[in-house]
Amino acid sequence: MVSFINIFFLLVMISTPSFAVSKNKWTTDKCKMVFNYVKKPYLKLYKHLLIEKRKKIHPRYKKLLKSNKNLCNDPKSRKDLRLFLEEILAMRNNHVGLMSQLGGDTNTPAHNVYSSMSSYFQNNNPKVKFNVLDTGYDFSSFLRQLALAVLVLDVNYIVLGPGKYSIHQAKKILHQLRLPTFVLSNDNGGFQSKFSFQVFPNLDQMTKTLLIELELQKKYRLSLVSSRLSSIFMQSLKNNLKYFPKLSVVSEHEFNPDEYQSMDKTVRSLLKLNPEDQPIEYKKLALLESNNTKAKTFDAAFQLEAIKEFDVVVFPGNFKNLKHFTRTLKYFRSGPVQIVGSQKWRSKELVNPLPKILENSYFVDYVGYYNMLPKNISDYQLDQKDHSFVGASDVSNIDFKLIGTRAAEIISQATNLQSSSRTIKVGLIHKMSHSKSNFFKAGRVFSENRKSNWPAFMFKLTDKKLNLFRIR
Amino acid sequence: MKKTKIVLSIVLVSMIIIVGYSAKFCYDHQIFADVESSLNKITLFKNLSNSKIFDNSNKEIGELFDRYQIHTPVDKIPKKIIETLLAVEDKNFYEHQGFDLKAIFRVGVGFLKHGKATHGASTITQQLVRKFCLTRKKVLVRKLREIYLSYKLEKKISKKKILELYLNNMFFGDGSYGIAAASRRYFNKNLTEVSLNEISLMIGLLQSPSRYNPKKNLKAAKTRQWKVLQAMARNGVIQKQSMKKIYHQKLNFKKFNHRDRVFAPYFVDYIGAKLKTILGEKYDPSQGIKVYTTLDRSSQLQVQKAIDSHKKRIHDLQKLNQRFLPKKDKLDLEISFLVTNPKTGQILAMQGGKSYRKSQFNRVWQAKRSPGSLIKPAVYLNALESGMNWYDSMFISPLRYETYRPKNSTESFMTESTLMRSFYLSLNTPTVEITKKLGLEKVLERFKSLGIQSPMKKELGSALGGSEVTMLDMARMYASIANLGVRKNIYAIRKITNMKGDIIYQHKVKTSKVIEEDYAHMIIDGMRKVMTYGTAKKASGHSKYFVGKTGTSNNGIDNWFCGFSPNLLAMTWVGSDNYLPLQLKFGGHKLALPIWMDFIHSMKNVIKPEKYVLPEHFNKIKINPKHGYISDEGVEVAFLKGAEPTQEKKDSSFRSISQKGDYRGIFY
Repeated sequence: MVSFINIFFLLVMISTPSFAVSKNKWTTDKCKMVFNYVKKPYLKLYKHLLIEKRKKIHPRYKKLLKSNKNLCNDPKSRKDLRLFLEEILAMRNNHVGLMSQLGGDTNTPAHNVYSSMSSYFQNNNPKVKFNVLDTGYDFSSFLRQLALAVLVLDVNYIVLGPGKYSIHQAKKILHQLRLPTFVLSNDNGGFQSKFSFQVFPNLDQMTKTLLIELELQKKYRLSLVSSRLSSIFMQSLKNNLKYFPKLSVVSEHEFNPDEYQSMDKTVRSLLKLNPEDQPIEYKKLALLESNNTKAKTFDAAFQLEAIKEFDVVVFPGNFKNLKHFTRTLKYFRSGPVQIVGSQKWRSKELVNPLPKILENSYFVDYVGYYNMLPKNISDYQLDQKDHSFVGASDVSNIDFKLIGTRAAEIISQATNLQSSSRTIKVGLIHKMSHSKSNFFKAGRVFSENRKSNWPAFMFKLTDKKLNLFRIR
Repeated sequence: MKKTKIVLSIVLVSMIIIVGYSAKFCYDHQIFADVESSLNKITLFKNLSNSKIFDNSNKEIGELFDRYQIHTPVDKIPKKIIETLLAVEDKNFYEHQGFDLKAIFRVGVGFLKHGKATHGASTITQQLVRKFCLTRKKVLVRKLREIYLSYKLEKKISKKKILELYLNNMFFGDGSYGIAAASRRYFNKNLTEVSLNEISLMIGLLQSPSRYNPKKNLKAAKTRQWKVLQAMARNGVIQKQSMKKIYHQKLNFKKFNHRDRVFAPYFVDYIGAKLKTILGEKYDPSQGIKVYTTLDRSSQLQVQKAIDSHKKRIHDLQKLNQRFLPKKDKLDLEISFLVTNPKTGQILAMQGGKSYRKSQFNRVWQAKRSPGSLIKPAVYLNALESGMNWYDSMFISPLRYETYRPKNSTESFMTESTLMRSFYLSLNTPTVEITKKLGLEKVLERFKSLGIQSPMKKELGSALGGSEVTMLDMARMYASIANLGVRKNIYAIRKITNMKGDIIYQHKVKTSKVIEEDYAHMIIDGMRKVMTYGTAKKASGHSKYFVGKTGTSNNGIDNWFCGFSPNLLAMTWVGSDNYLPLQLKFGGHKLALPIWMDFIHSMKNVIKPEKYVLPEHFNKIKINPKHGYISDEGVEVAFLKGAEPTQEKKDSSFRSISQKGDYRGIFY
């Protein structure tokens, strides 16, 4: 029984130049083992390939699929087979395959990624042969297109566009293919292979940046107010709190964005305007209430004084919920409250007019001023006076165009890395530094966990304006 | 001879003494004093008659009076009445000169025989003099003056005039003055219709109207009537043999209730009050003026019909609500209704309560009630005039201004709403915010300029209808909008004539421009949405011609609806006089609106409603009702060309949220 680790080492060996010098180790058993492992994903893909496409398979793969492990029995054939397997596992070309659910609508994240990548390659690296494959909405369809990409189009770089791919189902075969794969989604489906890279705004980086800012401003006691729509942001923030020992969460509150009563409850709880939080004061007021002739309009809990045990409220909800939140704070006479949030705050509707309580509040975003974006994205009609905002539908388009452009930039940079070995190539990609870009300034492209180092932008709110005050 | 001379001298001296003494007596008691001024009360007396009120087709709808009196010239009084009167009261009327010496002699003889006066000797002239100039006190001085004045009166006016004054002014009991009034009140007949039986009974009443009142003491009245009939027979007015026949004829007394005879009693009361304002001190309901009003009989009938058809429903709701009130608080829901023509300003119908018999309090103009949201068109109009737009979006959250915390009836917070949606759903918090933004003073000033005359409290709550107003106040405001900004004063009286037919008052139409026509169209468009999407959606079937607005004050104390077309405005209110809350949330749309709907439905056959036509410089654009961006699935709103919303749905961040669940939610 050969373990998975043994196969892995064997594959590493044959896909590295050093393997040539250790040819003595290429025994019959090892040959068979490696052959089976290499052939397996291609065979699986072949089975999913449409019959009419099978004739168009690249000769290399035709040969692989026809080959038999018994070739390992003969020493000469075994040697040839080794060289052939080396060829199969090499980076041979600049063919890129974007796997994405395109559908019919052209105004989708997938299309924006596709168009921005296509545009980037055309203008900056025409040597790259860019293929796009519509994966449809089920896993078998995904495999069919992957087979086409690998066996027929012979792609060397796979890009998983935004959408639901069931990556957790595909991750095994993607790993077995050992091709550099770029996931353009926040959710990589547990695809933690060394061949996978995530190209997406980096939430961890954003929450860390926000926490750094809070620490700098000595806002140590945090109250977290969130809804189910911002749970991922909150989770990331809480995970990163361990790096900031001075900061602590004093209270957490969750509201339902569709229900006023829950917001009301949240604010009462945040400001401790409940009988349970202020029992003595409440009793006094309730007594007053019972003596008051206008008892119907008297609300003892409402009359309590707000108690703020926090320095800052983290509210990563959207601008709409934020406005309701601030109005509810005002209703309950909260007084000044420092609130910080996420990119969801960015909207004209928030700052026009800006609630007074939000004056000098700040939020973290993954996009800076829109006129800082790479050229092919900033073709949008931007308001010349204010580069903070774009139309709502453009927000989503720009976000995904930026992701697509960023992925194309990285792949383009990767194609210039001199190595035919996939293992070495992915190692080099991992260690790659940013090329010159307005948007991605300096440092490594990917973090240790293969997530793209995406800059985080800190904005401060002033009336009708966003002021960018920090980029990390 | 000498003896005779002595006797004559004594007699002469005695006579001189008697005459002298009498002259002194008369002088001392001023029997001959102030004759002219006393008689002037009769000679210059203006005929009295009830004032009559007519509807817009000049048909009588009611009367106004201090005392019930119908003036009838003597020529129009049937001969039999006069003959009967003279037979009973003064058979020598045409012969004496004011007093009847023979009758006085008869009384004197009777007095000597029986020690008391067995019957009267007063002529009709004397009775008239007594009524107008003297008291009924039986003293010699008064009697002497009565005789003297009667004598003088007959020198001044004709017998015919004396008869006319007598028959029109003497009290006949049961509140009626004059024979025509008595005929109306006892038998509901004109004088030309009364029978000898009835005449004899009525003439008999003159002696003692209270004692012989047939409605109270028929036996006494009949006894008296028999005596009258005897007198009539004696004097040849009737034949002796027909006496019994006449006596035994059946008398058909009619119950007389003035209210039953009034077509629109609340309106007639209102006219009475308006007359006091128009004529001032000159106003006297007994002067027989004729008041020509604007009341439309058909409209009034439909109003009454609509109210009657909802009485049971309102009563059931009342019972249901009573359970939630302390026993001492008795809930009695009342209804008032007003119909006007905004084009002319005329009041077409007015109903001040469920039943005039039960309560004469006119809730249309006497009651001051909180209009609730009915006042909101004025606030939103002000907002539009100040540059706000129907598509402006606001966040609907709870509000607090110092101690004031307005609430929305639906508690619908955590949402957004355009001005248009806030208006047609009648949300309170945005209205308060708008008022705050515009400035309370400015809003209150606008209320006034739109026709609200009741003083408004200087507090934000006034923008939500917290200050009490009359239904007429609201009608003035709504009529200004309905007439596309041209305010025509609401009025009920077209003209007034005196008894002779001379016009003493004619209504002059006063118009003033209080709203620019374009803004009027815009607010009308908003009110149409109230009926198609909003609180009056129930009445959407009428929205082709009518637009309207509901109003409900705190705890459903007052419930209103006002709806109008260019030529018909109808407003209704439901509530209790003791300001009791309705525990179950009914609101204007459940209490007042159904009554309005029934009325409008029935009115389609009476007054053909007109439609509002938007001028060509308006564009209709569909907008998202919450966020105001252009949307094919939205609510169609009329905008002035050039002032339409420009934000397409793709530009709206709100749109992104509503479509995808969150804005820039790429981290799901």
